[in-house]
Amino acid sequence: MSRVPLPQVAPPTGGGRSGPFVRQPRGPDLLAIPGLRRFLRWRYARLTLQLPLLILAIFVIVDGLTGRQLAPRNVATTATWLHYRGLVVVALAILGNAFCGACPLMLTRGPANFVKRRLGIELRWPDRLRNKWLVAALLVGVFYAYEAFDLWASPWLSAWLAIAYFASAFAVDVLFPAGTFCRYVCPLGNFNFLFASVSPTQITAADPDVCRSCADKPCLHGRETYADPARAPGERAFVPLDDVVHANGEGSFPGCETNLFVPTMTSNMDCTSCMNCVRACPYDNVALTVRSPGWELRQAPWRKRWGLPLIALGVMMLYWGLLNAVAMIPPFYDLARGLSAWTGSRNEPFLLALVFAAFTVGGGAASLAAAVTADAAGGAGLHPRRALMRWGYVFVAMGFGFWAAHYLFHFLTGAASIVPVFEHFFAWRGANLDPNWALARWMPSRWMFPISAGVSGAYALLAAYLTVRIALRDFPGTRAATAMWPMLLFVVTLTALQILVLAQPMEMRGTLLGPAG
Amino acid sequence: MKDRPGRTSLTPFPLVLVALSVALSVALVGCRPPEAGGGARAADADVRVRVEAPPDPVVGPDTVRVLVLADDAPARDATVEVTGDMTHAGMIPIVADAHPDDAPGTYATRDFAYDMAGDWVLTADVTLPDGRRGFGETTVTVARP
Repeated sequence: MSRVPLPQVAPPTGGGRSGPFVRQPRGPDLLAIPGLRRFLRWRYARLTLQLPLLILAIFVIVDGLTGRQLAPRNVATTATWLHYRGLVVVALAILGNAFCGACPLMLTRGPANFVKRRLGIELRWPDRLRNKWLVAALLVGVFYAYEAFDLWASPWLSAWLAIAYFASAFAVDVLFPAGTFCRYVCPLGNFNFLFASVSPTQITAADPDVCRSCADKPCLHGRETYADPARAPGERAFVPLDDVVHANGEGSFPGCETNLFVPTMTSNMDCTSCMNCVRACPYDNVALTVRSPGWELRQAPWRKRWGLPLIALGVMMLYWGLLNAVAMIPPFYDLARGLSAWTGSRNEPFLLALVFAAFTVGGGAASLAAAVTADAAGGAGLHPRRALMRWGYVFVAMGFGFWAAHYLFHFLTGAASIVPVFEHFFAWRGANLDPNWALARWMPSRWMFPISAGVSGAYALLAAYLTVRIALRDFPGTRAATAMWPMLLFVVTLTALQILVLAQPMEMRGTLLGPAG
Repeated sequence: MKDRPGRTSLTPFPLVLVALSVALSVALVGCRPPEAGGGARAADADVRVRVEAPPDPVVGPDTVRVLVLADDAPARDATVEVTGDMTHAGMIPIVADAHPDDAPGTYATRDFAYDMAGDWVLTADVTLPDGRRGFGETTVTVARP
């Protein structure tokens, strides 16, 4: 490995531009933690993070297909619906989109590239699918399937869902450029992208002027660095070894999988935390910056990128999350029986579709009404699209709060059950183990409501803060005060509803209509 | 997304849909899940276990009865453990011993209580004095009191 001094990368003088490309958060850089940058630049860093989840996925598939078909005793259902979901929201709230960074689905890329080379073609992702509508449809499809097929109760289907994810990642990677699956197809990834908007970290440029003077933009395009340039296949920007000051060895360093240019990032959207940019930047100029959880949402970055589809998805996630929790409490079953009587149908997929439609349309209409009312109160006129694009970020914060509260409830209820579940995995296959199921009683039940209500309330406070900041940003003088009140009222009402849902006794049913259904 | 020079560049909308459909429908392919009671701890074929729960159970104490037949005769002095599991992962199981009841080969729990409404799976794990084992399973839906 050659190390040479950093070339002169001072900003252009004589009237040239300098300073930031866009407004990025300016907090502490987590990559300054001793050893962390060095680890992330290591060639096998991502693989090291992916392997544990790959091993877990193998357990999920094996136990789901061949193990005992009882959800609390199977790795497939326990690891997927309890631990994975719980740890995802914890990571998003504390660290960022760590699970995409450690995603084992991307390990299909090697075999996919092999097949792609054999095929000799790489297709272009269709223009009409270059948005978040497909992902929104896939997400609601997964949520619907979760309820309709009782995925939480079926190790078999949970395992097949994991297989379907791997197969989809492989198929899309074979046919299309890298990053297509993450950006346009993966429901899990887009759940993470969406809610990484409240994460307290973001990739930024440490010194934007270094990026401005950087000719090859390796963080975006990738970098090839060889002592002998003739060895470079030429698929990525070639950076002469003499220009590299902090080389992490010779070789090929991929750029951003999802086409993000570090100094222009104002959002975590589409950032898979793969850290390719950290590895590719020859100047160590990529930072993992600490920011406030509301930083991104109050910047309204999606107005310029992805636009309405993304904000609509963000709003709808709030109501799909609410439905996901409501479907486990007694009033839901009463509602379902009432709906059955009203429609004269006992067809559960049909009734469930009606419930989803009611939450989607009703929730969307309520949010739109609140946003339009706020705009009108502030004197901005009646422009539904503009109002939703302005205030929609408030609902995203609330949505994350409720998903986090719900997932944490399940996770904390039975986090330690992973131990007896794995003991059961081996005992089922002949090992002399006696699983200690009492371990599942890890946290007292009486703690669950205060914790989940506290999480929901904390993000409601964030939503209220965002409301005030957006009003002060977009409305002059006293109009800001009048504009914020409809939204604040909505936030308070919805928070009360959320806490009411969390306070209900939980039921676990596999049918909408009860035993007679 | 960047398109590499020299590669075919198409807009295969139907092809995309077909590929996605094929990939996602993999989840629906296949046969049936494994039968209950399989695995290395499978029951001895000549030990038959039937689990009986009273109809329309509600949250609270209940009695679960287990009928054990070995070689087609009521089995005495068996060790019978009854476990109640909810159908959602992460829920804490209820474990209770079943003791000999009035009829031969019949065992009943004394301190078994459902702690939540919803769908439950009741499993009886039976060990005979000679070491033979048997398993029985039934499902019940528990209502709010």
